[in-house]
Amino acid sequence: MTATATAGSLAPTAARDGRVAWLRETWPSIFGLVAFFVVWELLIRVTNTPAFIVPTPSAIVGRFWTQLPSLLYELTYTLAAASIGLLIGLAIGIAGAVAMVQWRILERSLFPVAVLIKLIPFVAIAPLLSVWLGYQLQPKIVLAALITFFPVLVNCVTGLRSVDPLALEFFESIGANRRETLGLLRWPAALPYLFAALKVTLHLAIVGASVGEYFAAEHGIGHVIARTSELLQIQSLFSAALLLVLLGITIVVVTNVIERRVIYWHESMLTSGGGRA
Amino acid sequence: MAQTTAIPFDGTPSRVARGHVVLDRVAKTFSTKGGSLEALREISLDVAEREFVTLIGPSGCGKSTLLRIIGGLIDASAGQVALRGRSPQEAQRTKDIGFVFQQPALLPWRTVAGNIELPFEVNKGAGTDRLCSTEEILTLVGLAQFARAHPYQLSGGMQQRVAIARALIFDPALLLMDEPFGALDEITRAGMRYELLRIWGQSQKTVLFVTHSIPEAIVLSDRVVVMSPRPGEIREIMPINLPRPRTEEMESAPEFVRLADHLRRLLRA
Repeated sequence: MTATATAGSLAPTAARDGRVAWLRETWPSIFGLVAFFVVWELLIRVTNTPAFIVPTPSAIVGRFWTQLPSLLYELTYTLAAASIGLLIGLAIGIAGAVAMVQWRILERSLFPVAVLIKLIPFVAIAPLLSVWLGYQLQPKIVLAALITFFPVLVNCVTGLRSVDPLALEFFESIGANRRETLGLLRWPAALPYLFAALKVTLHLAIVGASVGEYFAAEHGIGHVIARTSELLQIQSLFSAALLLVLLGITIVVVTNVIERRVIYWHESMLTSGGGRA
Repeated sequence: MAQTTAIPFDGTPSRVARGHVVLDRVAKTFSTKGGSLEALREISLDVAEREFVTLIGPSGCGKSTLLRIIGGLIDASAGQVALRGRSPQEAQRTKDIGFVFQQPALLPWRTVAGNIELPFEVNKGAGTDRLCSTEEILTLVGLAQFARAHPYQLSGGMQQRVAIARALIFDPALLLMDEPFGALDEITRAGMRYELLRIWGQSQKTVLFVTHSIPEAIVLSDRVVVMSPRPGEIREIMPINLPRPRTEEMESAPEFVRLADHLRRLLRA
């Protein structure tokens, strides 16, 4: 933190300063998390709560470790349904947004339908989708797509519209057509909005797939949670939930890294602390 | 087609040679919630090839609106606009118009060079000429080292120079500039005037330049069009007969001061 480093030791000092700054910035978060689990562990031990009601964090981690291979196997089902559903949701959301921005009449006619679909409580239609589509991946994919398309659509419409009006005028003044204006101006301008939507929808897709699995499935993390709760295998239930939490953290980290590389030019990336979910 | 030969032709030009930009009683009325707003009334103006004409007037006199009508970004309510005998929309299609706005309006995700190259990626059918290489135009606007930089790494004045380079690179015959230095501080602004004159001297385009700075109008122009507000009308067209190239020393010359006084009185009236 001192500015009196000699030229030779400048780089290592800068690196150490960086780590010190990072620690200074993040120690409250680390402390908060550690304290949370310590208090949890102590409360269970002191009150002698049985593990089938609330297990201790250490017991959960132990169970998680032994069950990890089978959990990861189940996770592939959830991930498959979630990612296919998300891709469908993204495709519908982006295509819908592009169409709505190009033709106002489509926005007026299709947007109310989109809102209607969005307002359906998906927990209520999850069992119905299983009745219609069976016990395999299909109902979970549909559920994930239904949950994810709306945030993508809304953010993408906003993003495609969020262009500098003067840049739009410049495009017009040199005879740009709609396709060129879309590809060279509107689409790049929409990317930051799309990333914002992606951060939300990646989680929603997994929630959607898990809920689908919860109601009717032979595989998947949602199915594991349903089965273990019926059998009161609370430690197993918690370790399945822990896997979803770790997955969520991974998603946040990965999307932030990609975001920082793709939209490094955006205001949100240029201020300190940018790129956080 | 065969009929064209039947039109009598007496061997003399049917009309006086017309200028690059010809405005014939152009008017613009905006409809608003409370009725209609007359922005421009009976604007007639003839701008010659390679002439530098400035539109000056108080805020809200319709200068920017007039520039947008000439550039084909909005339509006139009445009257005619001809750019070398064609409509502004036709001129857009053949990339004959270079626009510079009050703000640089660069694409933040592109580098400086990428922003300048943009006109070549749009409307490719227009068969655009190239004034010079990107490196040369960057040297011309004094940004040779910044080709790989992004707009957010540049100051406002540098960004505006990129916008000017972007409007020049595809060699449009007509340059429309809407208060291009309006967002700059006075020191940068004063320097930019002479920089623009230097660029104009090398590229020889017709320029229509909107401003509300009196010294700016005098330094730059062959003629200054003084406009009155609401509705915008031409109050006077003032020729500036100062020799070219213009220099900063001229700004304290008696003739310059006399012109500035006259303009100030016209604008106050």
